[in-house]
Amino acid sequence: MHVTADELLALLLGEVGPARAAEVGAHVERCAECARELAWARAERALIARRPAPRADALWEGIVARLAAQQPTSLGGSELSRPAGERDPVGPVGEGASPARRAGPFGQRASASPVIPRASAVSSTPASRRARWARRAAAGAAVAAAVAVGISLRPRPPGPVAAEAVDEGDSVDPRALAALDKAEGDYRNAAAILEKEYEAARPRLDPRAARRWDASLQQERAQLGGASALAAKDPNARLRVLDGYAGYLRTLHEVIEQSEEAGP
Amino acid sequence: MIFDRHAPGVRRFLGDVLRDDAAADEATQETFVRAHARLSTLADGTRLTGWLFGIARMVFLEQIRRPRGRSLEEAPIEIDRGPTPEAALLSREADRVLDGALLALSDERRAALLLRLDHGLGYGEIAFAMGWPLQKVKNEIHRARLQLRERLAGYLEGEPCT
Repeated sequence: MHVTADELLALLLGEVGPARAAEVGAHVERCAECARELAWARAERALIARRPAPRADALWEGIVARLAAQQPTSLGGSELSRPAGERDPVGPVGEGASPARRAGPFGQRASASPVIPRASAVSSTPASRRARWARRAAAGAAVAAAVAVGISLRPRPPGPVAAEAVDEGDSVDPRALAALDKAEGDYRNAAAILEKEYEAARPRLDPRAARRWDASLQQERAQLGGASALAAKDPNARLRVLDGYAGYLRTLHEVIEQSEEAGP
Repeated sequence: MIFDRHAPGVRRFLGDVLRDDAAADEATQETFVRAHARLSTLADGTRLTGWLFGIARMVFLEQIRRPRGRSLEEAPIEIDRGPTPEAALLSREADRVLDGALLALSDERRAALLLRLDHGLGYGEIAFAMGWPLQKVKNEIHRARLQLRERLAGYLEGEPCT
């Protein structure tokens, strides 16, 4: 029984366990056909692998420039300038959140453009002032989140460690963690402002609707608290928590708008 | 961190599939800009390498939207079973032959082959990156290797390789 070409290639790529590798090796030694196949695979791999490696480090500056060019759009762009009456779909926070809510067509981070009441829509009331503060806090969070992502993607300076095999999550830049802390703090401040707004608006809601919103918001807060505690220093998990906050702010915004539509 | 570790591989992959240095540089930058934007959508347990190559593949598909004249012969390929002197393969001329052989593959087939042979991705990761069913990944890589071998075998026998 011959060894398949797939398995021989897997053997070359180090994907076969030691026991099976020994079996395959023994077979290849006494099977000319499999030995030929292995020789071909080795030659293919060697030819492809020995080609010169292109340098990519010079590309980083262009990436930074593109990210910088995107930043104003993400903070003041489509989400914040959306026509009144258009709303994002609101779903559960966290892993179950819909992709549309978590990221735009090109994956623009939800946390970089949270939907907060527009100043023009509520221009002269205490609520409008609170909404503006909330929007500033959320925008600050978006900047901090972008900074955190930028730091985590940035190349390391050359040095002895740079040549080592370093996998994601091995070490986290303290500046990224600080930026994530700031972002989460800003989101919490924005949430606190809108929660007060909700408390004021709640009596205008139908009592049954108000109870449903209470339950929904309580659930989102509980999920956020749990996710935040579990995220610890994992930057990806921390970014998902920020997405959760952005969704939570949307929910608060939606219920406040609903109360305003319900009347005085 | 992520850029440092993965940018050379992504750039090499895009250079291989786009066959144009400037376009590959541009596509590499675009890949990492999109990766930055989508980092939060990366599910726990997803391997970053396959995910990044999946984005790179989308970027290269967008760059090659213009139709190309190349068509592939899908007929079964007869492989010459003659000797395989590895030393002869590992010559400078062999590099040129390899380049021609890779160029003869369709863009998608070449991408799948290189993800396996050059970047060492497993079939599951390639399926994720290419958006293909697992069986298609296996079939495409198998066919790509046969095509590659046909070219290389021709070179070993002294036939002109175009």
